[in-house]
Amino acid sequence: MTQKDILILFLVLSAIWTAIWFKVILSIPNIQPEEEVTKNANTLRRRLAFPMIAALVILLTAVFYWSPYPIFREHTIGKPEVTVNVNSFQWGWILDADTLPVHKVVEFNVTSRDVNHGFAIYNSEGRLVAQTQAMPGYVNKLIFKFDEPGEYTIRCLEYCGVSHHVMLATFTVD
Amino acid sequence: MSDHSIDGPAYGSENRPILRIALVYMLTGFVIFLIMGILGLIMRLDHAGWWVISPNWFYRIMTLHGAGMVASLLMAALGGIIAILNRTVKLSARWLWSAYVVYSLSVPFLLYAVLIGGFSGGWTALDPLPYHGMTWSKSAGVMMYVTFLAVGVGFLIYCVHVFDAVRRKAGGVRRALAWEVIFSRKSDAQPYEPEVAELAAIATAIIGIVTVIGGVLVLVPLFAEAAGLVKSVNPLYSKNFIMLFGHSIANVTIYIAVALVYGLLPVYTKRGGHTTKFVALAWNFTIILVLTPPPHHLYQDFAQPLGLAIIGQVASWSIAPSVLLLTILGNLSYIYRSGMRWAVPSVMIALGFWGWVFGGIGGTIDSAIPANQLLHNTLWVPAHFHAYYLLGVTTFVWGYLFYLISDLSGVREKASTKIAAWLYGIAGAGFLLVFFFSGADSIPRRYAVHLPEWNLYAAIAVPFVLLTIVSLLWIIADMIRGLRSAWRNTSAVK
Ligand code: HEM
Ligand SMILES: [Cu+2]
Repeated sequence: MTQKDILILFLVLSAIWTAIWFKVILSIPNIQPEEEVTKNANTLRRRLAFPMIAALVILLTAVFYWSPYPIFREHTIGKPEVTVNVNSFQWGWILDADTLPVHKVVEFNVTSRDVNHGFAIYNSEGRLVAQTQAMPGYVNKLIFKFDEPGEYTIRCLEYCGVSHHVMLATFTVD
Repeated sequence: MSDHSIDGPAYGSENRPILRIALVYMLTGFVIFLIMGILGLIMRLDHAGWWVISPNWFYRIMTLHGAGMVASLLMAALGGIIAILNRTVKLSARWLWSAYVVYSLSVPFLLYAVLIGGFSGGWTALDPLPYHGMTWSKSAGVMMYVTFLAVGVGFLIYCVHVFDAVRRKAGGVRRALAWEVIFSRKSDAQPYEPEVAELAAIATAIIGIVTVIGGVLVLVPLFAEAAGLVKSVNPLYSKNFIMLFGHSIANVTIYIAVALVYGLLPVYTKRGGHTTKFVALAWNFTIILVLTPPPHHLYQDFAQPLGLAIIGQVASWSIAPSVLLLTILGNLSYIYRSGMRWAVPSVMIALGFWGWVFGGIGGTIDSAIPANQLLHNTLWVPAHFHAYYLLGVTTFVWGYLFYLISDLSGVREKASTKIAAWLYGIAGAGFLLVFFFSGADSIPRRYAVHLPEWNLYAAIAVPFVLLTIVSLLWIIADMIRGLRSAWRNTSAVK
C-alpha cells in the first residue's frame, strides 16, 4: 500500500458519496410524504447496519496485522538484522550509521534529547515510506526493510520550533 | 411536533437579553474567523512561494490561526445553541455573560503569548515544546497555557450552566438524554421527549465538562513545572491529555453545529424536529464517539500501550457507521423529496453535510493505523479537519447566523445571495481537494518553507481561497442589512 492507493480509495469513496448527495439534492422538487421517506430510510438503515459493521470488524483485524508496531512487523517483515540508534535534538538528527544494507530488516531505535520530533524516512523520489515519533524519555522501535537502494532523507514530522522544516539528515541504502 | 421548532424563536421580552448574548457569541466568533481566514491565505501564499515570510512569522501566524479558528468557531456554535435553547429552556444571562467574559480573556492572553512573547509552538502547544522553544521564553509558553485555561474555564461555565438548565427542565439527566425514548416499549406510558436542541445541548455539555477536566489534568502539572514544583511532566502523559483536550474541543464543535441544523432544517423542509429513537441514540453515542478516539493522535508513538491504540482505532471507526446511519441518513431523509425551500441557510446546510462526510472519509482512512503510518503529520491531516470545519462547522454555523439575523430583523435575503453560498461550497471543496492531494504527495504539515516542487499545489489552492473570501464578503453584504435592527430587537427594553 502506498499513498497513491490511499488517494484512489479516497477519491472513489468521495465520488460515491458525492453521487448520493446529488441524488438527494436533485430529488427535492419531487415531493413525497415524510412518513414514506422515513419508512424507506429506516429500511435502508436496517439493511446497511449489519454489512457495514461486519466489514469494519473484518478490516480491523487486517489493520492491526499490517500496523507498524514491532510485535506485528516481526511477523510481517521479519526479525531485525541490523540496528540503528537515532537521537534527535533541536534541530538535527544523530544516526550511528550512514549506510544501511538493502533487503535486510533494519530496526531504528528512535528517541529525542529535548522535545518531541517525528522521525520520517523519505525515499529518493520524495515519498514518505515510514515514520515513528521521537519522544524524550522513550525509545520507539521502527522496523523497516529497504527494497530499493538509493539516497534517503530523514525529515522531522513533529513540529519542534522555528527550524522544524530544516531538520534534515540523509543516509544511503545499498 | 412542537410548533416553535418550525416558526423560529419566540420573542418574549424575557428572551431578548439571551438572544442578544447569542448574537454576541456568534458575531465575536464570526469576526475572529474572518481575520483568521486571512492568516490562512497568507500561509498558503507562502507555500506557493508568492509571498515568502520568515519562518518565525509563519509559525506565529500558524499558531494564531489554529488557536483562533478553533476557539472562535466553538464560541459561535455555542451562540447558536443558546439561541435555539432559549425557545424552550430558561437560561441565565449572568452565567452566559460570565462564560463569555472568561472565554474572551483568551484573546489578550493569546495575543500576548504570540505577538509579544513570540510564542510559535502551534495551537496544540505540545509539551515539552512550549517551555523549550529556543526562540521564545518560558513565560510565553506559560501564557499559551493560560490561553487554554481561559477557553477551558469559559467553556466549562457555559457547559455547567446548560447541563443544569436542561437537566432541571427535564427532571433528571436520564430524561434529558432521552433515555425514556430509547428504552421505551409500546406498552409504556408516553415517554418524556426532550427537544432535539435540549438533548444535543446536554450531550455536548457533558462532553465539554469531561474535555475541560482532561485539560486541567495536564495544565495543573504543566503550571507546577513552570513554578518549579516538579522538574518535568512525563511527555507521553501530557501528549495523551493535550490530544484529549484539543481533539475533543475541536470535534465537539461540529456536533454543536449539527445541533443547529436540527433546529433550522424544519424551517425549510417542514420535516423533522422530533426526538425519535434514532435521534436520541445518535446524541447519546456522540458522547462516547467524541471522547474515545483521541488516542488516534498517538498511533506513531510506538511506546504508547497497544491497548490505547486499539481503543483509538476501534473508536475512530465506530464513528462512521454511527454518524452515517443515524445522523447523516436521518438528516438526508429530512431533505430527500421534501420540497425544501432554497435559501442561504438551507444551501449552507446541504453543503455542510457534503463537507462533513467528505472530511469524514479522509479522517476514517487516516485513522487506519497502516494508512496513518504514511499520512500522519502530512497535509492530509489539515485536509481532513479543514473539511470538517470549513465545509461542515462554518456552513452550519454561519447559515444559522444568517437565519438568525434575518429572522430577528425581518429583513429578507436577496435571491442572488444563494449564489454566494454555493460559491463558498465550490471554492471550499477546491481548496480542500488540493490539501488532500498535497498530503498524498507526502508534503509535511507545519512547514514554513515548502520545496519548489510543492509550490504548485499551494498555487492552485490560492484562487480557491480567494473565492471563499469573495463569497463570504458577498454573504456579509446581504447579512449586514439586517444587523442593526436585529440588534435593536434583542434589547431588553423596547
Ligand atoms: C479559507 C480558510 C482557511 C485557510 C486558507 C486555511 C489555511 C491553513 C493553512 C495553510 C494551514 C497550515 C497548514 C500546514 O502547513 O500545516 C492551516 C492550519 C490550520 N487551520 Fe486553517 N485554513 C482555513 C480555515 C480554517 C478553519 C475554518 C479552521 C477551523 C478550526 C482552521 C483551523 C486550522 C488549524 C487548527 C490549523 C493547524 C495549525 C497548526 O498546525 O498548529 N482553518 N490552515
Ligand atoms: Cu520537528
